[in-house]
Amino acid sequence: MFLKTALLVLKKDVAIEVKSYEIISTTLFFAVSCVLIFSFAFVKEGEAVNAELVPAGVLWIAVAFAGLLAIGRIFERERYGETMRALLLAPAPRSAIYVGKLLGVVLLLLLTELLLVPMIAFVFHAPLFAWPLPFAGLLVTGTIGFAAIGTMFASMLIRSRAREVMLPILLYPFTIPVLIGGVWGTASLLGEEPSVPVATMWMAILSAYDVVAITLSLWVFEPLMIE
Amino acid sequence: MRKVFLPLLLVTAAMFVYAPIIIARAPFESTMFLLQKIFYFHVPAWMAGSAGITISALGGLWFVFKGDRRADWYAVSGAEVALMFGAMGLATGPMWARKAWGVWWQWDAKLTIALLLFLVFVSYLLLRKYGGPGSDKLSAAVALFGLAMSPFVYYAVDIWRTIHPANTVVPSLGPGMRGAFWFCAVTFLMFCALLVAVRVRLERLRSTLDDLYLAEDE
Amino acid sequence: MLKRFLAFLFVAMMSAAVYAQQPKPGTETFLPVDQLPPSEQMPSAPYVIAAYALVWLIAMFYLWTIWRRIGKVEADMKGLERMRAKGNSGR
Repeated sequence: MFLKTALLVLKKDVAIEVKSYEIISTTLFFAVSCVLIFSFAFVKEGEAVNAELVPAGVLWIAVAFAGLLAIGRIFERERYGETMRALLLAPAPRSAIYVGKLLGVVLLLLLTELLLVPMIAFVFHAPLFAWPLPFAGLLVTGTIGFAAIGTMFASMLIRSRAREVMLPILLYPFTIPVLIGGVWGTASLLGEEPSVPVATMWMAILSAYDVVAITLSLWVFEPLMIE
Repeated sequence: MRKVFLPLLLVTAAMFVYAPIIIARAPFESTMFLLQKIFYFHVPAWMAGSAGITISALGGLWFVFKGDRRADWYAVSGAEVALMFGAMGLATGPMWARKAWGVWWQWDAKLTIALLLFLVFVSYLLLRKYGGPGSDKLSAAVALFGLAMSPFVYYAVDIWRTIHPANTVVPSLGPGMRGAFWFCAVTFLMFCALLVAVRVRLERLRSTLDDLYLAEDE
Repeated sequence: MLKRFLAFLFVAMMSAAVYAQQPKPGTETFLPVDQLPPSEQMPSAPYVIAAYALVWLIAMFYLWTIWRRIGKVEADMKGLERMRAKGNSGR
């Protein structure tokens, strides 16, 4: 009886899934994104997992996943309390809402990183504090880039049906470049030959990414939020 | 639009028939010989993919800012067609790379960004299909970001040190190869236009069907 | 009407694939003297053929998916027509 019920539940779920393949396709895509994220964090130019890449990779992956959680929840309060309409009715440019939310996410992520960095430096014996200024620059520019895209998509997904799974699916292809920049920039500060110019180069790339991301988000935020 | 479709179809079909001949007649490239001929479908496929991405992003923006539902048809059609041509590009590239570089794939800047762009439009279609109401406008934002990413695929060879052949190859092609290349490029672009037209037709039919259902309910 | 166009495109592409078999690549074009062309050519051919085949397959697959979806929509429309006719005749 027990087994029969269990199998019936399974059969029902499979029958529904086969109609639309929703869970399977979104899960597969998420899995592929994950593999890519890990591969960029830990494999550079064919050689897997060398010493300086690991702490950098772990740091940025932690930021990425924590950021995903944070961004997913950022509009939860609005949705739950149905205060989104009140926000939208405010006599202020809509893009101000975006910037406000963005600053909130960035602050939250920077606080998280404040905890993450010492922890990773301790666990991996990584000299993350050796070059504080370039490292901080990388963290800030990378976090802003991640948050910019994330806030943009999270705000659009408020009314969406499959919002929890859609957010990572939309977010990861766009934020993999941020991840690459952050990881390889940080890695260039670790290891036997730390190179500040390389880190600065990655910081410049991340800054450019931030500018483009925020500009585009500001441009489309208003018409897309008029719902 | 309809009057142009059939002649366009015939011309494109004829060009497709002739393309292998013109490719076979093109002179061999001095280091890659036969292998180089993959270039005649690889580059046009990506050109057509970029065209699809542009159509998708512009259609999406027009839909968001002007509210014209038909622009949304072009947005989704452009994205699907771009995905198809991207798949062609991603499939033909490794075929060449296996012999040219010895590996099927390399994580250099150009290939990575191209793959990410492909994933962006996969996520576009997933959003479309499973996102529920409002996903048509959100997907316009996705397409726009995709369009912003797209020039980096082309300029990656200039900005970063990559293993992929440079952008100077196409302008410096010899006469026999130049003709074959641009012939294939035009063929693929026309094929792209045709596919978008057919796909838009599907959307138009779906829209008519929806209207019929709504009329039924009244 | 549209399905006829699609059918035409299918036939055209198939005939292109058949027609393209005729001129053999490599035997009628310039070959450089300082290299040994046959030993270079042989390993390349499978890759070129595979690349070409993939292009066709992907195009065919996509056209087939469009065909299928249009078929579904047209079937729905016919169903709706029938329902409406039944509704009208029932009154």
